[in-house]
Amino acid sequence: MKKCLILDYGVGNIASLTTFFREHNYIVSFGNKIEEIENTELLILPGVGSFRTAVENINKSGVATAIQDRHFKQKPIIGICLGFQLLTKESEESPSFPGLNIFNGFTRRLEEFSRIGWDKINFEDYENCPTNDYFYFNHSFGIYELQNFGIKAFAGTSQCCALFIENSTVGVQFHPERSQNAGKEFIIWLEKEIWNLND
Amino acid sequence: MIKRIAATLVIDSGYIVNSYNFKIHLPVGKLKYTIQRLQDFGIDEIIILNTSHSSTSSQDFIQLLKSIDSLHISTPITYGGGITCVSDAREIIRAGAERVVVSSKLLVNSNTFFEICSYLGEQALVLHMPIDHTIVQSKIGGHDLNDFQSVMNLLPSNWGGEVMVSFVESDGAKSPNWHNVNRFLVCAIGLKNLILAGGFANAQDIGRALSFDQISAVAVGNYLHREELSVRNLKLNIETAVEIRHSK
Amino acid sequence: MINEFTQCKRCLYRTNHPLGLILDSNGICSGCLVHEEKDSLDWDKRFKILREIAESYKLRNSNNYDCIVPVTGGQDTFFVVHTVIHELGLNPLLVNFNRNFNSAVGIKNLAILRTSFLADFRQFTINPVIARKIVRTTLANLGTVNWLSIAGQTSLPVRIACELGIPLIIWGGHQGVEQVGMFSHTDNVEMTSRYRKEHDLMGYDEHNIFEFDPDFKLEDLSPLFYPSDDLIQKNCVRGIFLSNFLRWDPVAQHSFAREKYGYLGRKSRRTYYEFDNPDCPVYLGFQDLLKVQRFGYGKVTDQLVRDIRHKRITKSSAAIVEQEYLNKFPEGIQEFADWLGVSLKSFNPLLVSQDKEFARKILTEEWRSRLSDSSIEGDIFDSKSEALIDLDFTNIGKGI
Repeated sequence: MKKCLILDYGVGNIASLTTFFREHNYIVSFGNKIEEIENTELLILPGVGSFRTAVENINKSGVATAIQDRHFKQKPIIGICLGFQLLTKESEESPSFPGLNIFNGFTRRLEEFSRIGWDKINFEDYENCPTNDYFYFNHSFGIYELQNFGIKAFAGTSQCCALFIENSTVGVQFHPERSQNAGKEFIIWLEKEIWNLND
Repeated sequence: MIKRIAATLVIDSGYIVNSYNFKIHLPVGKLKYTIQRLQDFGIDEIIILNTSHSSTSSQDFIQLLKSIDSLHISTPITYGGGITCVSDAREIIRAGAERVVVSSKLLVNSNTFFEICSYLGEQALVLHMPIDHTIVQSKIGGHDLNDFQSVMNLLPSNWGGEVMVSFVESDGAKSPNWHNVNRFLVCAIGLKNLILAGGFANAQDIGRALSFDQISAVAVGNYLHREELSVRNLKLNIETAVEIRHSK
Repeated sequence: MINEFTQCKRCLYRTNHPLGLILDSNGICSGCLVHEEKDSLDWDKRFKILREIAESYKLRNSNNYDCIVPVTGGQDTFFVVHTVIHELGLNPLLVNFNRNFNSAVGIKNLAILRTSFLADFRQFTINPVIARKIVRTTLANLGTVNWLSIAGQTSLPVRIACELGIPLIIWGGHQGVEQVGMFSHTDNVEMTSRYRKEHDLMGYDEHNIFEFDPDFKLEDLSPLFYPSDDLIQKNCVRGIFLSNFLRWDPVAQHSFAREKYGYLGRKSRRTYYEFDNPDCPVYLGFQDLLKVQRFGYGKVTDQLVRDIRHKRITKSSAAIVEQEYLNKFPEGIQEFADWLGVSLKSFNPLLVSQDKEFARKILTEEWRSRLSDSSIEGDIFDSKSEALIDLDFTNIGKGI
């Protein structure tokens, strides 16, 4: 069985993610210590909550560098919803609280104010797409102007980024844990095609 | 985003109930079995409204979740019932809900509504507005259309959450009162992200409701329990120009 | 503990009813409230709705069957078949899942049914060795001997509907509506696999039974499998309940069946009413005892509640009658134990109630000693106990 760590920064739908990753044969733990971040096979930055609270708690536990190191060492990370936004430089939601700056982009208030519900994602210049199904979104801020090179996808007609993958760091604006079969297929695809994390 | 069909599950005394005019509750069964079937049918969202409270709202929710512990829920859950403070809302999200439903009283009578928005993000809130055109004294108390407008004026114009509008007089009915729905839609011109509920129990009415720009979702209640393949058949038979997510 | 559950002000049910029971602010239960509709609805109008449904299914099936009617040797079978054929003018296929614990009366009733209505009849009997295995497993793990009968009775008609392309199944009374007011009659609730799993099968369908006994093989349980959603959708199968469209009163219906067709009843120790389940002595015997252990009430309670609601008895009189019958030692326990291949002693742990005070009232020392004496054979009725008429269990387990 594989191991994953859900990063504890005071917000997030922990219970849903725990059940979801257990179903995918992960031993799930929850914490915010540097050693835990270094040693786990998959690091999960959860969603749902305030950018400021998350950044404050990341800084308080002193793990920002550990997360960035993981990215540079190309060890698997997935940022979900708010977790994805935390990977950017900063968020309009809390401009005085910089993000992890792993992805060179900005989190801004959505032009549409919020995106709640289901949408399909469209990959930019990428053939090996995981599924043509709908994913569940629930956000009022989104990621724009991503400069990095990587696998990028958008949802519907929205200009904000629905998915970005650079090496082993994955950011998704949608919630795979609440996207029924699409979410399950997506994780299996990530394990096989991006992370090489099979049972 | 595509339009959604949500399931409303009203809870009373630990059971899912059939609800009629927000006054009468008839027992249907436990959450576990209904949620399993709704997932089988590919429902877009499950909205749980808990009308009986034995503890804090987050504790009530955690108790309900324990009853479905063995079930792997992979569908968005929205939960409401007695939320009065930020900590309630936070604990409910941590325990497994994506969004919380709050009563309009929280917006009208206090600052708690905006505190929750600030903590969780506006998209994590659903404001519940029961609309009651009649003299029916429902348990939850309804708003007339004037009330509705004055409550909506308290929200900023760019508010990113959703408003669930329940028509009390057609709660539990087989069809909504379209005269009243149309009156409501006129007064809701310019609004968006509205969820309609109350008597939406067949493909034709649901399709018609989803065709309005203001409407992002329709919530189905009692009908879910009346027929085999309820949601599956609804989605199959909806005739609407707008895109919906069909069952697999 | 039983008394911790609140009783309805009008009837004998308490809030621990397994189907769920809600009391309103006046202390009246959901079952009594929905029952009031029987006296306020326009049943002529409702029957017209039924007639329209029936008309739309005539001659749809190439086998010439308009619908399926699940039948047994008891309950409301005669009334349902009569209504379907003579009132609605439909040509049904009658379908029976052989429940294995048939009384001679139950078998006779089925024979009378077949010869009175001249409808085609299809019966399924599960392999008796598998039957015994399933009953032992569900008794040990769920505390019921009835699981097999219900699983079969609720899946067989649906399987045949899909197999033969007959979309309409017509059932009699909806137990959830009749007992606890689960739906309004006007909801026209239909059969669902969710209700079947949660309420009929106590939360465990045939796929879950595997978990209890690793020796079960797929083919053991496959006759009980409920058809998939895809198959049901493809064949547009639906099951409607007559009790939503007629003023449902089983007592009046049984009376009609007796007069017109010679429907037979069977006296039982544990209830005053002969005509609900004359076909299954175990259901009114050992199974009833298990029900009392778990929920504090028995079949006699269901019948008394029905009579209270139909204003045939007052609640206070009903409470006295209930206590008289709940204490009666059930017939046929020895025969049932023999069929199952277990000693009577092995039933003891099943009969331990969590409510010790309640158990003391019901499980007297006399009972305990009878159950613990495995030398008792056949003669579990002593001369002091009430003699039963037509007591015969010749057909337990023979699958006749």
